[in-house]
Amino acid sequence: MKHQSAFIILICTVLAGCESFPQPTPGLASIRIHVMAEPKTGSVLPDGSSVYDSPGRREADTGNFQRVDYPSLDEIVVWIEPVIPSPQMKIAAARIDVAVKKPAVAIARAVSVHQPLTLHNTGTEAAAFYSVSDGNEFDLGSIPAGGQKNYTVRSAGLIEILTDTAIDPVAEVYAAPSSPVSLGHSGGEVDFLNMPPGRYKIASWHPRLPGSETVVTLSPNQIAVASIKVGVNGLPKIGPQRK
Amino acid sequence: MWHGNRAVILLLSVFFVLSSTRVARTAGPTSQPCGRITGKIISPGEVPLSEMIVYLESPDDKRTIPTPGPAVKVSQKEAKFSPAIVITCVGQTVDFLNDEERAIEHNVFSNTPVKKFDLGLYKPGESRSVTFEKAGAVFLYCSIHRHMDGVVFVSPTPFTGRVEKDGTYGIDGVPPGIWIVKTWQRRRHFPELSIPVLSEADKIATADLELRRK
Repeated sequence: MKHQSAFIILICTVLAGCESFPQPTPGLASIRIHVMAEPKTGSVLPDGSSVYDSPGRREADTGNFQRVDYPSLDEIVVWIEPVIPSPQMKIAAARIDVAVKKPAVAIARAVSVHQPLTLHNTGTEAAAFYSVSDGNEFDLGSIPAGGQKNYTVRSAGLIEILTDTAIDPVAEVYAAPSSPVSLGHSGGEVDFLNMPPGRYKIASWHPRLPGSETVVTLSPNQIAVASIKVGVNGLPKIGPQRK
Repeated sequence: MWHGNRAVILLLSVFFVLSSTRVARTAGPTSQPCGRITGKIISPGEVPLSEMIVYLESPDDKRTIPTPGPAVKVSQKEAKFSPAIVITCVGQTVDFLNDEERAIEHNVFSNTPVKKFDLGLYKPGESRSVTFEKAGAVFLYCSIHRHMDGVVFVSPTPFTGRVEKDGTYGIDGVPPGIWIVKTWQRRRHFPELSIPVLSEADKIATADLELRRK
């Protein structure tokens, strides 16, 4: 997946005003990443209201007209990966609950390449689960009710878990190219603790909005702060754009 | 029934044989006698067949492909793209019209690698246009309305067909020669298929495709 642009990052040697943030293990570093969904530039109208979420409009705009909730948008995947690839450590399996009669409504988990997925059939009947997502094609065969089977992620990207008797996926998982990875939301933070010092790329992904990426350098014993965004402002523009 | 590697092997064999016998490989003007390709998509499970597209690709990079048709119009009304699935071909333009009756702005963007763009925010009655230069599916969204999505499928050729609910399809006006029939599913349940087919002037060629999990 390609990302749109890099954003300003602020690195601090001490995380001011956040005493609860644990000190890293001596010689290692930690980082707190502020996650933001950025509305499109020009969304504030001449009367000061926003095309997105001005009071009074939002109540009326339900159903099809429901707006993207930028201040608390969820399903934002954030990960950090060394600029110079290093051997991956063994990653614990991620459990994904699937059931035939329960279609996916959101990204269930954020995982990484080489991470095992444990598909747990929470339904009341046996069902076959499979995927045809690019790079992660698999067919686990039938899983009895209450049973589980494993698949190890081979490729980065969205993995849709399917079953023969449902049109929509029963689970959606996003696989980042490396770990650690976390599922965050706009206005929230993602913490990655006890990272080996070095240069890292921080990246984000969202099912609809373009992600972004930026590079940070982590020093021994450092607690760093960074920010990452999702939003359309980095896309190539066609036609007039409001400022 | 053909699919996967068997289809590719057959295609190459047939293509080389026909190349050596100088069968027409160039799409000619629209007045050229053409053929029709029909068939049926067979699927073992729940598949929204009406969201599928069948299209033709040429195995010959040098074949002249007819120029694309006029711009396709896509309306944005009631916070929906209409039609939600648009078929175009490489080089064709799509006009995105904000057709709302109320004073509701829309935005159209895509983050698909095939075509990334942002048309800005615009009012009812205004239209913005995008020309698609590469083949593939381009997923559309509005940065304002969370349920508004659609897709422009950009075919490598103008020879395309929608699949009916019963799985049947038909592609008209196909110039004579070897073509590859390919599938595209909006909600992908099975690996996409491709099979070679020979189009002959004033004849109907049949190409059935069976979707399989493997």
